[in-house]
Formats: sequence, C-alpha cells, structure tokens
Amino acid sequence: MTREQDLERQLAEWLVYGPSTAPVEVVDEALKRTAGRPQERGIRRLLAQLGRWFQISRVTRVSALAAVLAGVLLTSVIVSAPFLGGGAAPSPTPTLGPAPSMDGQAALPVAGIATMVIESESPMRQVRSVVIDTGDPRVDGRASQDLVVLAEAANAAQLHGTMQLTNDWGAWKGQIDIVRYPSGEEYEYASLRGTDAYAGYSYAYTVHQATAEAERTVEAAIWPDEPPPLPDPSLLP
Amino acid sequence: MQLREMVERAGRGDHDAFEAVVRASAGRLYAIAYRILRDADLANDALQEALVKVWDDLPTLRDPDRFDAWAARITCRCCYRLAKRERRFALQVPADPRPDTTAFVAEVADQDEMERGFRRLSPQHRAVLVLHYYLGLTLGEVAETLDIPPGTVGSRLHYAMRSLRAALESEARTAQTWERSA
Repeated sequence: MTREQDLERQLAEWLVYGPSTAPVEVVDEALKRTAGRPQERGIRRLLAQLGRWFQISRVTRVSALAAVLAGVLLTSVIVSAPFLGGGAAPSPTPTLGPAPSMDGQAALPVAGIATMVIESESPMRQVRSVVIDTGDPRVDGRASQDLVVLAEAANAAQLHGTMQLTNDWGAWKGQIDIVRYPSGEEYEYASLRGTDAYAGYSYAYTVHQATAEAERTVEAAIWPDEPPPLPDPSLLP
Repeated sequence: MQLREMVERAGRGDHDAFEAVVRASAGRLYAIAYRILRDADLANDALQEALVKVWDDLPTLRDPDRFDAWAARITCRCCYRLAKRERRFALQVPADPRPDTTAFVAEVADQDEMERGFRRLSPQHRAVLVLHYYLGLTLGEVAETLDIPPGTVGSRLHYAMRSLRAALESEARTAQTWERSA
C-alpha cells in the first residue's frame, strides 16, 4: 500500500467515528419552523431572490450581471446559428427490440434467485450488482443498485436507492428499499418501470435472504401498468 | 410511499410529506454537517438551517430523484456559512500521551492528530473529503452534489490531502520535539 493510499484509508476509517443520527429535538424544531411557512414559489421566490440580491456584495452583483450578459449573447448566437448555416442534424429515431407479450391485463408471477456482489462500499453508501435468474428472459439480467443508508440502528438498517436491471431488450428502472438485520437477514423491495421494449410495463419484486450465507429468493410480478408504490418502511418486517 | 413521491408532494407544499422526507434524510444530512464542522452545536444549527432551506426551495427541485444530492449541497453551503463562527477546538483526549503506550491510547492519539489536521482544512476542502471518503461518492458525483466543475473537485481533493498530510507530519514533528525535551 502506498503512503497516499495509507492516508486515504486512515481518513476513511477516522470519518466513520461520529454521529449518523440527527438529534430529534433539532429535527422537531426545524419542522416546527417550517409548519405553516409558505414555500418560496412564483412571485414570492422572485421577491426573496431580489431581497438576497441586495444583500450580496457589489463585486458578486457585477460578476453575476456580466455572466447574464454573456449568457444572453451566447444564446443569441446559438439561436441565429441555423440561419447562418449551422445547427445540429436531427437525431435518428431509436429502434426498439421485440415488446414483451402478455395475455390480458393480469399480473404475470415469476420467481427465482438473485446473486449479489458488493461493488463498492462506504459507511453511508453501497453500490452492488445483482444477477437475477427467474427463467423469464424479460426480467432476467444484471442489475446495478446504488444505495444510501437512510437509517442505522442497533437492530436494523434501512437503505434506499435506485436500481436498473438491463438485458438484451431493454431495461427496468426504479427505486429500491432494503431492510437489513444484524443477523444477515435482508428484505429487498423494488418497484421498476420498463423502458425500450418494456415501455408501459411494470416489474415489482421482493428478495428475501434469511441469513448472510443463504440463497436470495426472488418473488416478482410483471404487468402492463404503472409500478406500485414501495411499501411504507414502518410496515416492513 | 416512495421517497420520490414524498419529495414531490413536499414540493407541492404537503407538510406531512415533508416531515416524512426529513425523518428519512436528516440522519444523513446531520452526518455530513457534523463531519464537516466537527462540532455538534454547529452541526445542529447547520442541519436546522438546511432543513428550513430545503422546505423553502423544494418547489424549485426539478428532479425528485436528485433530492439526496440537492439536500446535501444545501447542507454543505450552510456548513460553509457556519464554519465562519467555528470555535477553537477543545481537546477531547488526554493531552499527555506519555504515561501509557497501549494500543488504545495510541489510537486515540492518532485520531486526535487526524482531528487537528482535518480542522486546519477549509470547509470546502473538508466537504470534498467527507463526500468522497465518507459518503463514497465518485468525483463526478461530488462535483454534481457541490455544483462545481469536476476539475475543481480533483484539485480540492489533491490540496486537501496534501494539506492533511502536511498537518499530520507537523503534528508528528511537534510530538517528537516535545518528547525529546521532556
């Protein structure tokens, strides 16, 4: 390990020390301050920005004005470009692969196993790849999951993030919630929307892993509609 | 209900949804604030200020999926402001490392050196280190979160690590001098 890597490791380890839970009273106070407080939108936002404008330094105001003027000039050049013989060619229309065929509107259940590999991990984030094998090629493939730790307590950790499952015909994209227990047991809920050949279809699944070494079992359904909302985290097992 | 949906509803003025969003994300934001400011009181103030700002500005958030990065950016900016009134660091470890040479004391002493070295950095440099080494964001994601060019992130990271190393080496030299004179 080089000297630089050693310092990076020491720093990463040292940063772990410290709280990762916000004091309840601070959060409550912030919620109290925002209750009944109108958000800055429309004319109110404009007025608030103008108010702040007069509080900032003259140098900053002059720089901002110069940037706006430069932006206006640049925009006028871009707008006039097509008339001067410039402009980009229109992009080609994408061609899609075969659409998944399903009879009627009923959900199609699928089941299988998932194999997960942690690609990178830090105290508050986990990037992992999951190979899903259900025997249905439309929803099988390699998925990437990018997760952040929302809450971590002695008895459980809750993670939330985005997921994309890609295969030859398209991709399923959406959000994922995970609850992990110190024993290694893990529940994973994903609610995904189809793209490309799967556009207009939804895919939701749950993965359960009983222990850290156990097989990850998948139970899922595909149907032609919007994906369902993820379950309320407080109702998770 | 998904976080995305709660963010959307909060952006339309739904305070219950905002409370759910806050309860889900406050821990992460507080962890960022604490690690940049290295002070619980300042981190409390930064978090509270950031949450109020998040509520105010939520209608301007175009992509609810980017909420995490957007809220982290607001928190970092609150930290920059509050860092200006950062107090002097109070030692939290025994000042005299001589009586004991056990691993525990050595570890605490190392942590203390890191703490002092880290505190010599500017809040902007600390933010880059916290986002990269603690949250595990890539340099591109740090750039997006802080709304600065990727080159600036690389440069801040380089200078932050160089300054940190220099600070640690300086601490080590001071300790050696102190040991020799004792």
